[in-house]
Amino acid sequence: MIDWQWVTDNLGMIGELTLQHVQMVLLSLVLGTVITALMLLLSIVWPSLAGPLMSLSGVLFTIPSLALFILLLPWTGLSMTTSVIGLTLYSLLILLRNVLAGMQKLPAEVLESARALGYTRFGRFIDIEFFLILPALFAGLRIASVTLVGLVIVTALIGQGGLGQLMIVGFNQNFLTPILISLALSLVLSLLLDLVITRVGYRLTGWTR
Amino acid sequence: MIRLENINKTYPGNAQHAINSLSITINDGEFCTFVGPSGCGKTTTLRMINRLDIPDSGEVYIQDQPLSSADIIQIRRKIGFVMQSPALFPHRTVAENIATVPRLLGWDKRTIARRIDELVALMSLNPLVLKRYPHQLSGGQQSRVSIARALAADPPVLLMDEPFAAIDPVVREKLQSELLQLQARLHKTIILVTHDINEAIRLGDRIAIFQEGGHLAQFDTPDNILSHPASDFVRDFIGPEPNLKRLGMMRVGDLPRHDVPLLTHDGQPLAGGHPLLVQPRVLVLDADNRPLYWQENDQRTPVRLADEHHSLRHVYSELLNVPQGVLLRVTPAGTYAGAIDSSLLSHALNRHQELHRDD
Amino acid sequence: MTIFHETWLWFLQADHWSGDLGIWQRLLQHLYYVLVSLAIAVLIAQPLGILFGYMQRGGFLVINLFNIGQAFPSLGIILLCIMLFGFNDLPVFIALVALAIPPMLTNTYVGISHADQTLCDAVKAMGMTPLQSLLKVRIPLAMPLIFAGIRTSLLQLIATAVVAAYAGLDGLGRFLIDGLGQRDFPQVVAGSLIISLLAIGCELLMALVAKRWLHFSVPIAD
Repeated sequence: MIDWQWVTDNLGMIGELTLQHVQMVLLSLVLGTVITALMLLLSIVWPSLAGPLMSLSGVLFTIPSLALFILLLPWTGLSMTTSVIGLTLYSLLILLRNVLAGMQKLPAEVLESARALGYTRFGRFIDIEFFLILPALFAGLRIASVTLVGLVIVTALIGQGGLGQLMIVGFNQNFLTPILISLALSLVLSLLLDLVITRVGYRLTGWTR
Repeated sequence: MIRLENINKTYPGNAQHAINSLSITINDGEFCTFVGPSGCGKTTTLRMINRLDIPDSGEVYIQDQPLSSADIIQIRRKIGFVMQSPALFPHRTVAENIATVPRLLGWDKRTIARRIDELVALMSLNPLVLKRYPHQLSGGQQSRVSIARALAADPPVLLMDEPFAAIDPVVREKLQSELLQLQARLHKTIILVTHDINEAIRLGDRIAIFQEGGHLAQFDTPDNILSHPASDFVRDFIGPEPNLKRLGMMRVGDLPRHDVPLLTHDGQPLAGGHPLLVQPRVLVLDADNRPLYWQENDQRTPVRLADEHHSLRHVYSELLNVPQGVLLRVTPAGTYAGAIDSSLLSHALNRHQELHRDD
Repeated sequence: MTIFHETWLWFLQADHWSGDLGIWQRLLQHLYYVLVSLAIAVLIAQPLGILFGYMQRGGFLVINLFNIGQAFPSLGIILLCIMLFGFNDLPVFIALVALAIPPMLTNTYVGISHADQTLCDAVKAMGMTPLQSLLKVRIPLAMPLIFAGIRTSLLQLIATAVVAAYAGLDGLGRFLIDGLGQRDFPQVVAGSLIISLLAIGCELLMALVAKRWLHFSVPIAD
C-alpha cells in the first residue's frame, strides 16, 4: 500500500509541510485564545453581549469551512492570511462557545460569596472566574486543536494546506502513498496536540484532583 | 448599630412576596436571629445589610452611615458573610481561602499567617487542612472554614444566611455551641437567618420573627416571645409547649438555692441555710458533703443528681423519672449544692416572667 | 468592493439558475448526496447507539471512535475512498456515511446510557418491561441528544459534500472548485453564499423542528 521509497525520497517535503501545518494550527490557536479572552472581558463589562455572541458563533460554525474561507476572499485573497484568519475564526468559535458555556456553569454561590467578601467586579474576574474557567478553556482548546488540524487540510484547496498538499498531490497523480501518509500524520498530530494540551491543562488546574 | 428604615422591596414578576415598610434596629454586640417561613423576606433583609440586594426605597444605616452613598466594597470587607453553602473558592487552598479579605485589605504576610493560626484555634480546625483544597474536606469542616474566612479580617459585623441548614443535626449542634462560645469571647454584632425556630431561640439574644411581606411580627428576647407571643401567627410559629422551650433556655445554675433536710453519715443533722423543700425524707451526706442516699424511716433510696449547667428542660424530664420527685444539685466536685423539685421549676418560670414584666 | 457587485450580477444571470450546471440542479444533487447518506447513516448508527447505550457496553469503543472520527480530515477520507474504489458514487457514499455515523452513534449512546437513572428505576418498579422502558422512557429522554447528533451529522455532511467536489463530485461544491480553477471569483463567492445559506437554513429548520415537535430547544453546542 505505501511506497516507502517515495517517503524516504520526499522526507524533506513531508517535514516542511508538517511544519507548516503545525505552525498554522498553533498560530490560530494562540490568536483564537487571545481574542476569546478579550471577548470574555467584553461580555463581562457588557453582560448582554454574551447571548448574541453565542448565537453568532453558533451560526458561523454552521457554515462549511471551505465556504467560510472563501467568503473571506474578497478581502484577503488567496493567501496565507485568508487561511489564518479563517482558522482563527474557527478556533475562536469553538473556544468562545466553551468558555461562555463554562461561565454560565460557574458555581453561583462561590461568585456571590466573593462579591459579599468585598471583591470588585474586576478583581473577581482576575482572582476567581479566570481560574475557574480554565477547565472549560482547555476542553475547548482540545477540541479546537483537533478541528484545526482537519481544517488546515481544507485550506489546501485555496492554496496552503500543510499536509493537505500531500493529499492533492496524491489524488492528482493517482498515487495512494501521499494520501495515506498525510492521513496518518494528521492523525498523529491531532493525538499529540490533544495529549500536550491535556497535560498542560492538568498541570494548571491542580485543584480539581 | 445597624438600622433599617422603611425598607420596601418588590421582586420582579412577583408582587406577592415583597417587603413592606420594614424598620428594625440591631444594637452593637447583639446576636440577633431572623426567623420566619419561606418567602417572608428574612434573607433579602439580611442581604440588604451588605447591599447584595438593594431596597427599592428606604435606607440602611451602619453606624449612622447610609449605605446608598457609601463605598460598598470597603464596607463589605468589614462585614463577614457566611452562606448556606460554604462556597469556598475551589481553586484555592483552605489557608488561601481564609486569607481572602486580609489580602484584599493589604495585610502583610506575617500578620496574615498569624491570623490564620488564631482562626484555626478559634474554629477548632485541624492545622493539617490548611494546605488542602475545599473538596477534600467534610461538610462540617467546610462550614468551619467558611466561618473562619468570614472572621479573618476581624469584622465587627457577621451576617449568616442559614449557615447550618445543610449540616447534619449532630454536627449542627456542635457548631451552634461553638458559635455561642465564639460570641461570648468576641462580642460581635451577629445577624443569623434561620428557618428553625429552635435554632433561633438557642442562639439569639433577640429574635426577629418575620411574617409574609417582610412584616416584623415580633422582635424581642426569646423568653419574652415564648411567654408573651404578640399574635396568633407568632404563637403558631414558636410551636407547641413554649414553656418547655423556655425551660430549655434556663440552667440549673439560674435557680435559687433550696435545701432538703440533711443528715451527716454519722447521724448529725445539718442546717442548709436556705428555704426548705417539703420532704418526708432526709438526705444523708458523706464526710466530703457528697449525697449518699435518702433516708425515710428505715428505708434507704438512691439519689439522682443534676449539675449546674444542665438545662431545666433536662431537669424536668429527669424529675419525671425520679420516684421522690427531687433532684440534687451538685458542684463539679460532686458536693451537695441544693435540691430541685417541680414546684421550684414552676416558680422559676413564673418568677422569670414576673421579672421581665417589671422591665 | 466590486466583487460584491459582480457576485450580485452573477446571481442575476438567469442561466446560472437553470440547466445542468445551474444553481437548482446543483442544489438538488447536493441534497441528494447529503440526505441519502444521512438516511443510511441513521439506519446504521441509531439502532447501534440504542443497543450499546441500553446494554451500557462498548462505551469506551464508541467514544474513542468518535474522537478518531473527528481527527480524520474528511477530504482525506473521500479522496482515499475514491482512489480505492474508483470514481463513482459508491465510494463517495461509503465515505459520507462513514463520516456521518460517529456523531450520531456517540450522541445516541450517551443519551440512552445516561438517561435519568432515577426515572428508569421508577418505571421498572412500576412493572414496565425492559423493552417498554426503552421505548417509553429512555428514548424519549434521550431525544435531545439524539437530535443533536443528527443535526451535527447533517451539517458535517453538507460541509463534506462541498469539499468532495474537489474529487469530482457534483453538487454545490462545484461552484467553488470550478470557480477557483477558472479564477471566476463571482462564481466562487456566489457559491459560498448559497452553501452558507443552505447550512444556516438547515440549522434553523432543525431548531424549529426541535422546538415544535420535541418541545425543547436543542443547544447549539455538540
